Amino acid sequence: MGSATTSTYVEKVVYLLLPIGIAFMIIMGLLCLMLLIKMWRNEINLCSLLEEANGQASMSRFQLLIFTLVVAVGVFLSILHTLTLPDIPNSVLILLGISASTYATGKAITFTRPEGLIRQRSNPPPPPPPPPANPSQEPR
Amino acid sequence: MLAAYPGKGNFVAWLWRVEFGAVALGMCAVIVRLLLREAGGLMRASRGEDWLLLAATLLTAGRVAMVPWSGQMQKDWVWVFAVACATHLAVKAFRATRVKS
Repeated sequence: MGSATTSTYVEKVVYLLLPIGIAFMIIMGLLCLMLLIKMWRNEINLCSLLEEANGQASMSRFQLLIFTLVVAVGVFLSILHTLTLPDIPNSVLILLGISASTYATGKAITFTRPEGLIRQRSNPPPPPPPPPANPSQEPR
Repeated sequence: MLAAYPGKGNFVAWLWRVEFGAVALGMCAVIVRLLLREAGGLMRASRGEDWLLLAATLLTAGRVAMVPWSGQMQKDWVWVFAVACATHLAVKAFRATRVKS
């Protein structure tokens, strides 16, 4: 009697979990799609991922981005293949640590200089407009 | 299509794989587009130590990407990358000191 009641209860829970899981995946998929579209249309600006405070592109940021991307894609593919969380090798974790430390130290070095903080303009500012002519001083 | 995935659990796993894979591919496309767009600025702002770091990064990241086919990485790769990063930082700090004086 008791086991039959328990099995019915478990069946109901499983019956509820399935639509909840599908709805969750659809909502998350729509959110991810919305974010990807906004990034593709530059409504979310990603240029600052590679820029330092002075507006110049930074190789330290670039290498951190490359490492993060490569490891993330590897973990993604492993999860898709096995549907379990993979064991990340120690050497890869050490490399990620070195990469992030290089970025942080490079940023600290850049921020010790004033020119590392001041944003440089690529185009010079336009000259100021001429003052308006005064009608009382016009030549006769 | 669902005939290939008769169980409900299999269908959810299939849906999850498709969605996760599509989002991952889309994210990769966005990042690659960003890298191509910023490549010019990166090349202009790079100096010698930056090229060293770029070469070490590409080599090591390529080796990391080859782990499923080539096996685990040796410690030598980690040491080479660490030395390249240390050299990059040392030269960068030296240049910053020179600019200050």
